[in-house]
Amino acid sequence: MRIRHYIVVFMVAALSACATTPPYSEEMLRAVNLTMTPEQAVQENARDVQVMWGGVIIKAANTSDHTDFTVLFYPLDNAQRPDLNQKPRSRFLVRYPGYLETMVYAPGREVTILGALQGSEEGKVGDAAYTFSVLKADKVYLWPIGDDSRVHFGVGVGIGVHM
Amino acid sequence: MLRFIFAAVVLALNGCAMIPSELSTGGPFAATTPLQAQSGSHEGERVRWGGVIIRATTESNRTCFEVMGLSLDSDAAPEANDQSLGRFIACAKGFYEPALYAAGREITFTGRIEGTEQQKIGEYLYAFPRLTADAVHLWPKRRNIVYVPYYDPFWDPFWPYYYHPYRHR
Repeated sequence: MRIRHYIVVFMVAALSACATTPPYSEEMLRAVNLTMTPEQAVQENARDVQVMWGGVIIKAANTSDHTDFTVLFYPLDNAQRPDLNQKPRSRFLVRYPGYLETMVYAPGREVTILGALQGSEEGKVGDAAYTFSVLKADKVYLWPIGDDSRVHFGVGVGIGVHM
Repeated sequence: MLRFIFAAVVLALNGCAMIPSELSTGGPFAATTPLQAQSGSHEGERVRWGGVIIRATTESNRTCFEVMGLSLDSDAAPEANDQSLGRFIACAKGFYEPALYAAGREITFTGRIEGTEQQKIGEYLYAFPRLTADAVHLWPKRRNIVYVPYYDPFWDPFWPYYYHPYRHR
């Protein structure tokens, strides 16, 4: 019987870069006003305007049938993630119909929300009077902690000899 | 005759499954999650549940913990992820120092599901599964550990992707 010799020397450098996929498709954004800001919404007392807003959760609370958030608005980047390198804008309120775990959807976490504006509401930040724009959320996308580079590199090297 | 030589030079990070002894007895454990147990139909099942402490309350002869459940890893330690398995209340005999068993700490129990209890989270009425715990394990605080890389001769660079370029066809 012939002995077959194989010699396989193998070396691989695998480099995979995957940018984050935006959570909301173009189709979902068809009816969305992408230029509306919270300041503008307060000024116009905007209602029934579809927006995609994001930011950092400041407060989260469960009501009997809703989950309410106060969010600090940041403009979104290309991946629809709040861009924390930009200046934060004003706060806004989010009403999500249903229960979300506020230990997970917690202060400090980044979210991008799709929903419809419901006018504005008077409230307070500390002792200061504040007018909040109110967003009724259809979808709340929670961004993973950290993971800010948006690009992941994986490098693998393997050597094999087979005879 | 075939000779096979395989050499892989890698940096690898390995962990051994080491379930704390008090959590490794008393099984078998049902795969029921706290969310599933909300229905009340899992009473009497033995489970191993863990997660993050929300609050520890001491009573005259026992301590009750409100916990946000998380999936457990092979060590039975809670996995830090965003997929909450639902909250639950676990009560264990004895006094557990609430300042030590503090909010945010990771904990794992074994015990029996004893039904559910309606309690409010904010204003939301939540059905908490109740666990009578017979083992309580508080996990050390996570530290920023610097792992020392070492050479592992059995490390397979292609696992779990079974694409071996040198494999026989």
